[in-house]
Amino acid sequence: MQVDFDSYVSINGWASFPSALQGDDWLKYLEEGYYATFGESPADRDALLAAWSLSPTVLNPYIDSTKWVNWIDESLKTGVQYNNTLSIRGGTEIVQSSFSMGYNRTEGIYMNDYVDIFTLRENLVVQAAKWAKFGLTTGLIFRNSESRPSRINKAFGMVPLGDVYDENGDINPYPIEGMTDVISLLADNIEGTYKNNSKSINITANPYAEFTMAKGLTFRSIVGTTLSSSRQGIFNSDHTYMMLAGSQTAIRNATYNTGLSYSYTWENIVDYHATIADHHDVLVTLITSYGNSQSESSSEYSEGFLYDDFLYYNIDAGVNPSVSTYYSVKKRMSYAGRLNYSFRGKYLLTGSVRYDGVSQLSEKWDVFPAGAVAWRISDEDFMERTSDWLSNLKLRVGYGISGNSNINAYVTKSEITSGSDPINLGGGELLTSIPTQAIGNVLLGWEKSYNLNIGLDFGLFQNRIDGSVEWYDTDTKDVIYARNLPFSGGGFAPKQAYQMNSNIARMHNKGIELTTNSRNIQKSDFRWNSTITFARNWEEVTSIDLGSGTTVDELISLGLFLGSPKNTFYDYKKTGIWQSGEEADAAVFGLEPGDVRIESSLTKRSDGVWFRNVTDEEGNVVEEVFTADSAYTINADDDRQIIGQGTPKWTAGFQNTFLYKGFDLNIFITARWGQMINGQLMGYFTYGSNNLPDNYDYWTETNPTNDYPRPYLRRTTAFSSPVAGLSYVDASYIKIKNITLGYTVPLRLVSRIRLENLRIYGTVYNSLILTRSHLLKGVDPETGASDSFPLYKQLVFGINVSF
Amino acid sequence: MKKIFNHKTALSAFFMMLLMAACSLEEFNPSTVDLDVAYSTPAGYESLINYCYDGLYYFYGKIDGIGIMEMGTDCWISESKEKGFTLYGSDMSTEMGTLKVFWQGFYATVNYCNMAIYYSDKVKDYTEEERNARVAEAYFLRGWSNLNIVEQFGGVVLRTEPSAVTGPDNFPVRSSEADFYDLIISDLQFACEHLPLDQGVERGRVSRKAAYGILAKAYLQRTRLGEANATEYARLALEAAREIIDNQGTYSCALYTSDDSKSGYAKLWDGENNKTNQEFLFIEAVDHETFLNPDGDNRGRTRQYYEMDLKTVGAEWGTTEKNCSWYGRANDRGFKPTKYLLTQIFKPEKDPADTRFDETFFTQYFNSKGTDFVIPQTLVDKYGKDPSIVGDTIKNTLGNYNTTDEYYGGRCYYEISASGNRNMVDDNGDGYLDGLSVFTPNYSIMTEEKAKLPFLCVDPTDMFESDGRWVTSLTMPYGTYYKDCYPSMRKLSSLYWIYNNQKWEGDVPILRLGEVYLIAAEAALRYNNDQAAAAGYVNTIRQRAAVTGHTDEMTVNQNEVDLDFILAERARELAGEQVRWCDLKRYGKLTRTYLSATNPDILNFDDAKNQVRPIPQSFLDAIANPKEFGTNGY
Repeated sequence: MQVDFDSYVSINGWASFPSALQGDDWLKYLEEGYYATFGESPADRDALLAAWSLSPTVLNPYIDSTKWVNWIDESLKTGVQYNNTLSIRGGTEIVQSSFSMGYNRTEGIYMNDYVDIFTLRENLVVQAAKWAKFGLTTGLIFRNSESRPSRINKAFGMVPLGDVYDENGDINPYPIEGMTDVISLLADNIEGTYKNNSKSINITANPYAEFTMAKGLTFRSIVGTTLSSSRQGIFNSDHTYMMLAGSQTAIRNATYNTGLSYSYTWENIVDYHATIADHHDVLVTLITSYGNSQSESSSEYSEGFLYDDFLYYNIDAGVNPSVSTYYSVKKRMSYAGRLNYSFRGKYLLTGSVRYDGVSQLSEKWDVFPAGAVAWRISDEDFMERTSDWLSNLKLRVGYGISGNSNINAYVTKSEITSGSDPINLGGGELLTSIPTQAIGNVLLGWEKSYNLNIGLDFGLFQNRIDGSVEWYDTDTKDVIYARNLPFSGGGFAPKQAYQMNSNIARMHNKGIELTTNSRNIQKSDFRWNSTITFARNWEEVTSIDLGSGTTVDELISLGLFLGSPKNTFYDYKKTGIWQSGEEADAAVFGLEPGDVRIESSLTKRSDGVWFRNVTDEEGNVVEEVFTADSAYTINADDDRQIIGQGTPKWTAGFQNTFLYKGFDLNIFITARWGQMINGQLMGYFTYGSNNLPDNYDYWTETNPTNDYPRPYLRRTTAFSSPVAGLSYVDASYIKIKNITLGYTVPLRLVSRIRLENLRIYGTVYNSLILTRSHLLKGVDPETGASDSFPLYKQLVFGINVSF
Repeated sequence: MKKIFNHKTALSAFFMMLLMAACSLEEFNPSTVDLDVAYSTPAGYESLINYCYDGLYYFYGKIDGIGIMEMGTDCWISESKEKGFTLYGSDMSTEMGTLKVFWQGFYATVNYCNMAIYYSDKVKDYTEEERNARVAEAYFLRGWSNLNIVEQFGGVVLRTEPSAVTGPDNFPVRSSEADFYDLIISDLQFACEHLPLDQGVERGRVSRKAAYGILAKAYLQRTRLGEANATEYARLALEAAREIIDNQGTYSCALYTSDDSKSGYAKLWDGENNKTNQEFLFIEAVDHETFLNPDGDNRGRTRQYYEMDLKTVGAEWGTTEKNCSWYGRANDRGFKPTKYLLTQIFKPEKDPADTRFDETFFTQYFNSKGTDFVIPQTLVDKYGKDPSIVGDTIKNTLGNYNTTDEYYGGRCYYEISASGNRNMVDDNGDGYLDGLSVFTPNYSIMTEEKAKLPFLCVDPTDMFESDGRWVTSLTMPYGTYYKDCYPSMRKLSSLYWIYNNQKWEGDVPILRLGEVYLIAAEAALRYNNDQAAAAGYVNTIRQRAAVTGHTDEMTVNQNEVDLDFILAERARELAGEQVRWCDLKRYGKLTRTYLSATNPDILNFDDAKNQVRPIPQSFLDAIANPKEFGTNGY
């Protein structure tokens, strides 16, 4: 019997996230906006505030007593995570069993945000006879979580003043007295205001049986079942943040969602393994597999409750109820056969064929063959001469077809739904039936990848260094996209386009992947191992097919462009800010110094004179010249361009492990390079906004930056927009993903207290990030510069005990 | 050994066979049926017709329709709201959000109507009459939608089949404006012929009077195409308008008429009449009981979009952002009237015979702080008021209303806390209510007199520069404050249907009888310059805008009634009712010259391109031929 106990505590905080301007920085921003708009400085602070439609009477007392608020700091706290796992293993030759239980609690970086997870797992194996083995794995997971919506991005438009807490220490819903449109970002955390609780239970039971029918011939039957049930309760009192802000009607309301899903798979596998004439090793496998997954859900809502206390447990005490129910099923079936052949362990051959069907496609069935050969060159006699430095060399070549059918049920069907909007023309709510938002596509079939793969595994110097080089070339046909259909053919509702899942694109993807593991130092009490990984990928879209023979060179709505990778960004390309001295050129676009400079379709001829060549209706190339007097409007049609790709061009990882006596140190560095993001956090520059993120370096007459344009209180221009393309940024980065330092207490010490193993460790995640673009300073590119979920640093302290 | 092998094999074979038998991959969905089944019965078919009304709930009384249909005209301006539509210039681009909703909403409606028309002859158990009566609703809504599309976007995509039948519109093609109008008119003619006269309690379901009214509007609007038979279209517009005007009994509609205390125009906007309005011909019927309306429950924010700044400037004099449910929550810097609208369209005088200015605008805003407000010296200094008012009290008017209480003299529909509850009297006899905080008349008051008024009074001389432009923060000393003080459009805020300071649950008229009279008048002029007939219609409308004692003051001589007079009269009658941009387009007055004369804050109007709207970028980005389809010049 063995007992293991693992435990850790993690502290999450130090989020990479900008704050909003405060103090003199904020006033300076308001002044710059005033100055830019009116061409003169405000007479005094009262005039400044009034011009921004802020009441001096209300704000002056707060400014004078420097009651500045950093709403990001007020909203975020240090999160904590605890994890405890206990596992016990043991058994006899006939029965083996293991059991584990765990508890994990995560308290997030927002107030009232937590998850509790309880887990139980059992595994039982019974060798009932020499030829028959039975087993059962069961698991149970219970989750209980509470969450709060992220409001921190609201700080970027908020007057940064006020009293966050009142004299009693309670959250002040209106932090600035007399200013009812400044709502505390903590308003949802006032006791009794808001609740969003989810509970779920997930049960798995996977029995299997294995029979040995003859020598080398085995039959296994595996059943996998999952049953899960969940509910979510949401309660809004009549003074939530959204209600105080006027975005929702101030009325108590509650929602109660339930879900039930049940699925099973059943897989039967026949293996025949034989060695013929000592050198020929053959393994034949036949597989059938069936899967069935169903889910049901319901939702209930009502509003107008008399008391906060009901939460979501008395929905019938409200008015205007609404309910909905839902069902879906997906099924799949698969037949497969595989042959593995090996000669002397040197020549390896694999061939397989699958025949797969899924319920959710129209063309349900397809065939997926694959084959591979491998040659262990180092085992050849002629390689003996190099064996002192080349310990292993293996060449692999494989070719195969694989399929993807990952879409929702029923998307091929033209069926009805009641629609998303209720209709009542005066005689009560009416029945409605309209086609579902997903327009049926009767031609939808498998997305298939044709993949050629060549790999070389090597080991050098008695495997002190080993690794592999892998080259792949994949042609993926009929890539499935859910496409928003053009509205001229209608839409599901005015703000919801019809969608159709279609086999739209063909893509060519090739790349190289390199991995090496080296044992740099191998002393008895000091060891140093390194792992380096590197991957370079080239991807291009080779065809875009909208159906019925319509092929196009680009489909902007899906970011598809022939010759470019998928997830290509197509928009205005910012090249900087128009600077003082460039007035004449800026004026060609109807702009001024301080405005964003976009790379347009025009070419400069001389100061203040730009031109382009266009083809007229007769096909003649004519030159169009633009000057300040005949200015050019930068427009989406002519001036957007491909500006970057969403996927990295290359990624790399560098892991180092040092072992010294009982200490272990692990450092993992990753890099992702060449990708672009459209970052929400970059996009908060708007004229007249009451605040800005504090990491924006904006243009002023004395600060000729190329980062952000000049702020104005308000602005209209006749031609080009002065603010565009700000949220795109090169997101290449290198980061120290984690550093772990551990200490294993020597066995002679732990055995005294009857332990088999005792290790303590500490880890720090995300300790250092270096970004290629300075615009991402203080922002983590790994989250795509999301404006609501900061990535944080994490400190973990843990212990592993076995006895 | 042999025996064991046998029963093991049998066991395995049994499992295998079970599995093979269990593998049907047909989809099973008990929650729905196919379209062909769904629309084969009258009830199923009508459930499709019902959804054809979805789109119209997205435009009227909603920001997605107000900017595009009412702004950028001679009536309104805004420095920050719906800038593209109010100011033109670089803000009007293919990427405007509300533009997209407008385009999408009308095309969604057209497609649902096409679907209803397509499936109409597949419904079993309908008589021909029943079938026509139902499908006529779809023809009506398609005609009306295409009218809106062609006016805003010009000759764009004209479709008569549903995408459920044709598949996605990957290569949209343009049709001419004349093609649009041919289909619009034939659709509306079908609706005139087959729609029922009355739809019973379903006041939001279209009936024949709506069809004739929109048909008249479509004929009249078609005259702008400059076709050879434009005069004939004017005649047909007059004929369709007269069908309703001359048969009001048949169509159960009538103008509200004045009595000696209340004008017919005031009754038109009375909350008591809103849900049973005899003048409304085609409406967006709002569910005021269970709030089951499309596009969420943010109904009735129109008044907020037009509201003056009561949360900062007004607040210095006693108003608040949230404490008035009548004029609504002041959280928006909104649409301001132009000098042209305030002082030329409407007569700038105190107590005019024409009640339409007062029924169109709020001009008085009351103390809603919850306490009396004593005017301090600092405020008097700041606003340059007369020192004599220091220490005067602006009385509190805030209080709680129960559902049975009178609220500003009207009914209170929900329990609310709001101004107007107390001290709505003139105890000090100065001619103004004692709780008045801000007053924004459209007539000018002598400077010395104004300075002595114990409240903030901003009149047109304060609001506008001499050239007609709005004052700005630079117009010291008071421009900073006055630029956000103005009469606030109040048509969609009758007391009866106020739910709280944001929601207003009244119906929104899309077409009303008053407009049909003005269509008839304009059509008579455009057909054969029949000024006598035109004056007849116009005077009917004008006379009912005054209380009975003042009717004569409203009457105009037929010589005065020309097309320009009608255009001004339409503004007086219909300001804020989401018709103005199309009126100017029909009149050929969407020009830099006209707009700079009437609305000099519009600096960037471009005659060459601003006659039609940009095609939404999201649409162009989703089609196969964006270059060929074009952006409409943007």
